[in-house]
Amino acid sequence: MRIFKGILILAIAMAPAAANAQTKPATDTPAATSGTIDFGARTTTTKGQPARYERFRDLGDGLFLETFRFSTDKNGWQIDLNADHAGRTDQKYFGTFVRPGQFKGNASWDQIPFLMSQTVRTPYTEVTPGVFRLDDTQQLAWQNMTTTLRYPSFQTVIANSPVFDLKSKRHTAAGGFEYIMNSATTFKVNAKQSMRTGNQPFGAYLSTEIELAVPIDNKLTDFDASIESQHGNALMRLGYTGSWFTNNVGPIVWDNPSRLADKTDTANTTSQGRLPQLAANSTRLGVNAMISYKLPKKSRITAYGMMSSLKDGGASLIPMSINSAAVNPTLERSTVEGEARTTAANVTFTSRPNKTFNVIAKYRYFDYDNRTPVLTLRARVGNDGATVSTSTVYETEPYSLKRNTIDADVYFTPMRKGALSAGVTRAAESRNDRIFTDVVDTTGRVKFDLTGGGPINIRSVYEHSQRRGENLDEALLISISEKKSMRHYDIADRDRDRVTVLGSVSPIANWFVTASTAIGRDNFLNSDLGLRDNNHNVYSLGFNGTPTDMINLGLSYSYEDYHTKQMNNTGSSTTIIDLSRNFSTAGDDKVHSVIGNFDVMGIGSKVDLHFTYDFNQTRANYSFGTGDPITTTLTTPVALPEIKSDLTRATADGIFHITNRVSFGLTYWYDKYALQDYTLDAQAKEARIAGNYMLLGYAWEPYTANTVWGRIIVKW
Amino acid sequence: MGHLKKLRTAPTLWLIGICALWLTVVVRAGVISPTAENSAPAVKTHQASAPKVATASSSTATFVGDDTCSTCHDPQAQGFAKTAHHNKSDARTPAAKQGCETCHGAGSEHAGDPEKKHLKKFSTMSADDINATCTTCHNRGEHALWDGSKHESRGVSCISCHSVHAPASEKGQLKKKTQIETCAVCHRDKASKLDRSGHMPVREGKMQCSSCHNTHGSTNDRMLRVGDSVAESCTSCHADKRGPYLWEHAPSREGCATCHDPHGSSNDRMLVAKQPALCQRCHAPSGHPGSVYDSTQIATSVRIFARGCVQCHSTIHGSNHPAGNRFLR
Repeated sequence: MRIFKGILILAIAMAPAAANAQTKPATDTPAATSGTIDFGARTTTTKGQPARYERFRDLGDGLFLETFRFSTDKNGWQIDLNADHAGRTDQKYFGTFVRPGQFKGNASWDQIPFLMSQTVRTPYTEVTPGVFRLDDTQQLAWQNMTTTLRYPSFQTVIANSPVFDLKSKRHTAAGGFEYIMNSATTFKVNAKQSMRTGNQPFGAYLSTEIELAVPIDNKLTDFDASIESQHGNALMRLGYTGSWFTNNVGPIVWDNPSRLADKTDTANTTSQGRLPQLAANSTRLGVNAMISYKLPKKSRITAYGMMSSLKDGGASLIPMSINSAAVNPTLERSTVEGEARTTAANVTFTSRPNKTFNVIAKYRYFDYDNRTPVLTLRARVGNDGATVSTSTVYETEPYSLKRNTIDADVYFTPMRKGALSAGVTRAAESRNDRIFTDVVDTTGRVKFDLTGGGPINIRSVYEHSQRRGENLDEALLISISEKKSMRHYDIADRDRDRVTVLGSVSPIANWFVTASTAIGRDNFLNSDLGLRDNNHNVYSLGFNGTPTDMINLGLSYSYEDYHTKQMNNTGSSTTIIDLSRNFSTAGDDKVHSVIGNFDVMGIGSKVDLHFTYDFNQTRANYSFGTGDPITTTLTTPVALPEIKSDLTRATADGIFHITNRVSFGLTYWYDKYALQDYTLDAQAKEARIAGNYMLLGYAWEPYTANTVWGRIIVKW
Repeated sequence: MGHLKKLRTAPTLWLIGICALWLTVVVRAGVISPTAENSAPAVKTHQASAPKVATASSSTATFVGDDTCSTCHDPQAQGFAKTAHHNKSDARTPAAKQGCETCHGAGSEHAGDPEKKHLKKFSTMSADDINATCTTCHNRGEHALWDGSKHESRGVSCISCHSVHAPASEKGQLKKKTQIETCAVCHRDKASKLDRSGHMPVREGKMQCSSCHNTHGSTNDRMLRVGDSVAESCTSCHADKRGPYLWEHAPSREGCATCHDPHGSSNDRMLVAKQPALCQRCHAPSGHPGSVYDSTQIATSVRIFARGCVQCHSTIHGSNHPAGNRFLR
């Protein structure tokens, strides 16, 4: 089928090229119609699993149409029609229709495949979308086995289950236009619909650790329209945005492999589990407005405001359990009634009254106001087991957030191209249902930039920030069984220092040497538990040059080191922290990257050669420490094995220009992925065969791939 | 604490100070250099009717036309001819106005004495002057928020990324062939992350930097193109995570980047760290999250392999289940 499609596409694509080749002599004068077609045949061999090599693309054997470009200028209209990878699962078609100065239209169709694995297995059968069943006979047999026999039996049954592809795809249709109503006013409309279908892995715990390939079938429709008008010094814009999300998959249901018949049991040995649908339908509608006014002395003030409403689509509150033996508590309402309103406003003032001084000041307001009514629960069905009435009243927490941010920077440019600047930012946040009601993050920074057309360019910045929370609510932590000294690192007290320097030097014409460094230190100074340090060091060095008109080459190396340290505690009390049960986890990621290219153009006026090389090596380690203070009651933990991930890619591309319009090309891609990862690799999969698991066996598996393309490029 | 209070009041003092300084400079500029405001060329933008005359290289210079320019600058003229700027049927383009001289200034004096009389040579101009020229026309739509944007404030000029005469990219007249190559000139660390094993389909050509960022300025953080928060930007495509939920996991509402690195990671699902270490950064309750998951647990604890903590807490972005307070369903 693929070969047939390829031939068909080739024939269609060749038709205009052939017609043009017969009717139009090659000249240097620009033609009203022009285009390119790049097509040929390709073969790929992969040692290992190809899923990661072809994760987002289709590099299968057969004919291909890499690109098709067609442009014409007729009767005042400029029309571009384009195709990438036509006939393949990652195909894209797009076009523009332009009447210069009056109208711009565009339309596109884009397919993104997402191939996760080709080696997964499951004993479950999806009888209807989202409903996963096991064979009743097998289920009963497992129910009657001891765990010693049952767990290995799980793995035997999985091993005998058929292999299937774990994959999904996103198809997007988009279109829009821009109508230039007059010299001052433009009206724009854009619409887009994304459709996702396929499967994705999903954790489905029910006394056994189950993984399901749950269905994806959803649709997202976006629409926006705006009108922008300029009058004198004022630029105004009014806009409307709408976004509708529809999920066609209902609640997920799956069988419990250890039990066929319903039963009430606090140990989670019920017959079935259930979830609400993975994502509820939702609608977001908003309006926005912007006005920008040019002031005297090269100054400008810009104000922007936005209001939007996000609502779910009337999602029902499903019963707590489908366990027929458990009594579902009565809920105080039948639907989620999820609703949130967002308000945002920005004001930016910039001024450059003279060559040596300028200022940028910004104010930013963001308010996420969750209006979902609180749902009060006085009883629950824990894990689809028994109904538990409790004296504790559970209440949902409609989480809201408000941010006020002020930025001010002042720049001095004493030299023509050198600017010194200093600035501050104050970000004040208030929120509910988190450990701090208010958080203020204050940042001071200095910058030095030497930019412009000289041989040396430097951009450097140092910033120091202090984030502090107010109104600490340790009772909130205790109420959710968290230890009182835990601090959540996204809002915890933090001191941050960051330096970044980026420089480039052009010692001789057409040669550039670039170097950069970024150093960051985050110190969560009041976090007894949780993340304490988060540091990074990034260095890069590279050069690129064009020694002659024919040659272009570049090579860069970068080294990244990310280090974190966090503290945790194995104690059972939330209020009395036994420090001897503290342990630390240190994360250390080191990454080496090399990117290179070498291009030789026009060898003998006939041949172009392009070579690229990319290498990325990651080494990650998680090691542990005990005691804070040193005395400990814990067994000394053993560091986890080093994670190794190496990705090497090299390409060679040769193009032989037979005529000005026809070229022949030969391309070779080499791609190698090597992995040792105790969480993801095949070895890790083997290690857990005896456990109480019914997993898909999804892993990141290494591969070595070679792809060769023979191509013909025709231009007209 | 005194030090802290001092720092917290600093922004207000800064604002007052900057306002005072700005007023001083403006007043002085008004006295000393009343015409300083318009050093950029005065091409009126988006005028369908006959455009006004661009600023000449001097008050006496006159326009000489493209043919005169191409006599000496033929490679540049040929490059210019292949770009959208050269589309004469669009009244807004330089070609429909004064051609080369729309941007470079009137050339009669330069044509008469090329050695001594110079036009605007962008490669030697300051970023502000370059940007002032380009934003004379490119001041709407995508570019409307350029003033005060991150790039503008750091001295990035239009020609840092774009080439008027010899663009290498298919779209956008970029100096490099692709957006990644262009952005990687400065943002090397982000480009490097795209080469990690977990990444968005950027290097496969299905997304590009501008899919998420508007490099010319935006109303969002991090120059994000869509929405007014990081989460709003991410959920503009990942709408299945946008809620609103009955039970919200606050960090996912506040910012997806707390747990995910959108540019790429060596961890599954582009997480910033492996589970359970990632979750243990915030969770140490009396139950299992406070346990040690070390090498001895590799083959026995699902918190380490497969889906990690979200093997059970599978609705971690939020839940509408009445018993979903722990995101177990």
